[in-house]
This record gives sequence, structure tokens and C-alpha cells, in this order.
Amino acid sequence: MAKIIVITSGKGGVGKTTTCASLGTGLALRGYKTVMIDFDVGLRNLDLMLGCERRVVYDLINVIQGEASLHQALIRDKRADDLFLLPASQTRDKDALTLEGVEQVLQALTLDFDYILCDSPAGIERGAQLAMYFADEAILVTNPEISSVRDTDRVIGLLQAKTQAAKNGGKVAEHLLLTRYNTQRVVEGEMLSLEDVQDILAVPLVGVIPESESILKASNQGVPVIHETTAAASIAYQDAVSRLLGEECPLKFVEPEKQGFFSRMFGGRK
Amino acid sequence: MADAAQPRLNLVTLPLKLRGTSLPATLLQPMTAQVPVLIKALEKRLQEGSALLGKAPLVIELGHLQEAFDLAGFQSECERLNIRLLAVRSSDPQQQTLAKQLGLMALNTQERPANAANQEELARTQVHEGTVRSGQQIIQDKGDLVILGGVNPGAEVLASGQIHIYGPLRGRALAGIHGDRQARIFTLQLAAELVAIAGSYQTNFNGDSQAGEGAVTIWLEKERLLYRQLTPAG
Ligand SMILES: Nc1ncnc2c1ncn2[C@@H]1O[C@H](COP(=O)(O)OP(=O)(O)OP(=O)(O)O)[C@@H](O)[C@H]1O
Ligand SMILES: [Mg+2]
Repeated sequence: MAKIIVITSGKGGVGKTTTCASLGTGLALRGYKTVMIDFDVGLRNLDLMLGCERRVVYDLINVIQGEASLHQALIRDKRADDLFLLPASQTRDKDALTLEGVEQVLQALTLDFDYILCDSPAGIERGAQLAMYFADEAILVTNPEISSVRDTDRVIGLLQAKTQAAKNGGKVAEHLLLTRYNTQRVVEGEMLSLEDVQDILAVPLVGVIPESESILKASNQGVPVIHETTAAASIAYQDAVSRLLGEECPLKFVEPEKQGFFSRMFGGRK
Repeated sequence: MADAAQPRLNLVTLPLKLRGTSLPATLLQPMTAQVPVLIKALEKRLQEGSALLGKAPLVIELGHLQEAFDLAGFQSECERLNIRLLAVRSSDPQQQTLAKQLGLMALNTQERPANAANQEELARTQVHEGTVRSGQQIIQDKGDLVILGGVNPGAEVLASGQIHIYGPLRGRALAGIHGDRQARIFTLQLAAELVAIAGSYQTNFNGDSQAGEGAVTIWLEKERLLYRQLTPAG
């Protein structure tokens, strides 16, 4: 039985898809058979982040409507053997995504995989609710700013009310993933600190990903940043994978960088 | 009621109010089923100027009588004497039906009607486990509300009675929503978007920076919301 994890946020553009690609890759590289489902109908982009956009033939909605088998629609990642993608449809109507259809697809996948990652669209409407409905766990991708924290808070409310787990009297396990964290801007008071965010959300932390140039580069090249093993963002995502698997590891990249003697002497340039 | 100069939140407009109550009535327990004997005794009491019979409505209890009782005959005699027969108390279904046919109320011996009415009004306390999230609203329409967690920005908690928040209040809290001016709000940390008691409200209620630190209680005094710290500042 696969574990179903939704990557969600409420607010758009905070780094859900980036996170999904790296966590999926990280789990697969550790030998867990992992499939990522792109729920963002109309805005397919998980395939771009994985660099497999040219190999997309069938999508999630084709499978739901019986026009293609799961086997035909799944794309195997070219870097991680145990990673698969079920792409979103760019052209179909969002309403073609039904709760029953999603349930059937998940039930079929759950037999063959260890992890199913659902990349949620932004917002709190139908699409986001479908992506979270069957989840066992949720990764709440949040930026250190008030509007993002507020939207995440709202999504937690939905997780606690509008999911199958909640309706059966259970609970979706929540994990906070704080990303685009810039310690310098926290020190300067331009961003919320980790403590500020945790104080409001009160959700266990699965990772803090620093704001990083390498993420931009990686997504432009269609390579999840976690592959760039020495980059800070990659290390932070590797640690998040470990914590997701229940391992304990200390937080990195949350203290402001110690300024060297020279930069102290000559002042940090902004 | 409200000071016109003060902002008021018109939260609930009620066309009427229902209250459980017990009004005085006289209970007659006949020791005999013979109506003429009863009437003679009643006439005697009236002559003596019994206040119990003259002013309050009469309820007759029939449960313990063995013989049949001529309720219709008794009713018309009461009318003649200007005694207001209101209800029959009996557990016998036949007597209850008869009473209703005669336009009287049929009260059951077991149920105390005053209690039943009170129970409907009984205030309860609702306990909510966990933080109230943005977009969520928790309402306790009749009674107090206890939140075991914070109230986040964009969340709203309402109660007809008191509100206790075992966490920071960062959203909106409205106590005494049906007009209870005695209602209070308690919170471990005050940084509210809005606080209201019995319709008097204030936005951005975070006290001064010092008092907002610890636990506070908020109450209404002369249309103004006041607060005080519950624990000495650290
Ligand atoms: N840690 C980071 N540092 C710098 N840039 C980042 C970081 N994380 C994400 N980004 C950038 O932010 C942008 C949005 O990321 P992404 O597409 O993953 O967000 P999303 O939440 O999936 O958006 P949407 O809501 O549209 O689906 C991308 O350009 C990505 O490269
Ligand atoms: Mg996305």
C-alpha cells in the first residue's frame, strides 16, 4: 500500500512543483518506488521540471476517461529509475477531473508504488481539494511571508475538514516545508522568521529550503535541484526526504551566514 | 440601549425571545371524585377570600382518584365561580384526551413542564480542540466557548457567553452575541483583528505592547471594551 502525500500551499508560486520534483526524486533515489501526479490541469509543469515534457503522450484525464491505460500514461524518469510521472492535461476541461476518477487511479497506483506524491494546483477550490482528498500526509509548502502563511493556515483547515481522512474521523499528517528562506532578509526584518511561521502554524517542520539561484537554474534545465548534490537547496531537500522517512537530522541553513573578516570590514553589499 | 455614538455590530436580530419560566398556578388535589362536594368546598374557600383561587389559574390533579371524574361538569362549575381552570395533570391517557377536548392543557404527572422549558435554554460549553485556522468559524450559540489552541488571523470565534482561548488571539473573537453585556473574553495573548462584546467592538485590539504579552481578560464597561492582565508581565 502506497503512502499518498499531497504537496499543497493555497498561495500560488511558492514552490510546490519544485518541492514535489525534488522530494519525488529523493525518495526514488533511496529505492522507494514513487509516482508523482500533476493535478494542475491546464498548467502542466511538473514534466518541465523533470525535463520530460516531450515524452508526454497521455495524461491523468485520459486515464480517468478510459482513453488510455495507466501503463500507457506513466512516464519513467530518465535519471531515477524508480520515479514515475502521471502528467496533467494542458488542454482538457478541469471538470473532467472527478473524485471517483481520482480514487480509481490512486487505488490502481497504490498496489505498485511505495509513495504517491500529488502536486496540487494553487488555491483552495475544487482542484486543490481533489488533490488533497485521499492524502495520508500533506506537505505544506510555505514562504516566509504573511500572505503565504495565512493561505497555508487556511489549507490546514481544509485538510482537517474536507479530506477522506477527516470524514472518517482521522487526520492527515501535516508537515511544514518552509522554502525560499533567506536568513539575511529575516535578520533585516523583511521576512518572517522560522519561529514566527511555526508560532502561527504550529505544524511539525519537515524542512527549510534556502532561497537559491541553483533552483532557478535547475528548473530551467529540467533537472530537479536535488540532483545537484552539493548545492545548499539540494542538501536541504535531501534532509527533508530523511525527515519524511522518519529520520532525525538537525536543521541547516537557518542561521545567518557568519560574515567573514573581509566582508565585515568592507560591509556586505546588498 | 446603545449609545448612538458608539459603533455597534448588529450581529443577530431576534424578532422574539423565548425564556423558560415558572409562573404561579394553584394545584387542586381532590380527595373525592364527587364534583358537588368539591364545588361546595371551593365556594367556601372563595368566601374566605382565598387569594390562591381568585388570582392564579387552577391545575387539577386527577392521577390518584380511583372513581371516574366528571371533568366537563367540574369545568362549567369553575366558570360559574370565576375560577380559571387551566390544565389537568394526569398520567391517564383517557383523561388527557378528555382534557384536550375540553380546551384544557393536559400535563403529564412525570414531566415538570417548567423544567422542560428550562432545559431548552440550558447553556452549554463547547470545547474546540486545536487551533482555529484562517477561514474557520466556530460558533457557540448558547453558552460558552473554550478554544484549546490559538485563534489565527482570518479565523473567527463567537459565543453567546464567554470565550476562553488557551492560545494567542490573533483573529476575531465575539462574545455575548445575543446581547449579554456581562460576557468576557479570556486569552493567553492578545493581538486580535477584532474583539466584540454584546455588539460593542474594536478592531486591531492588541492592547499596549506590554499588556498584550501575557494572559488578559476583556470586558465591557459603559460601551467601552477594557482589558486587564491576568498574570504579571514577565
Ligand atoms: N528555494 C527557492 N529559491 C529560489 N527560487 C525558488 C525556490 N523555490 C521555488 N523557486 C522558484 O519559484 C517559482 C515558482 O515555483 P513553483 O513552480 O515550484 O511553485 P508552485 O507553488 O508549484 O507554483 P503554482 O502555484 O503556480 O503551481 C519558480 O520559478 C521556482 O524556480
Ligand atoms: Mg505548481
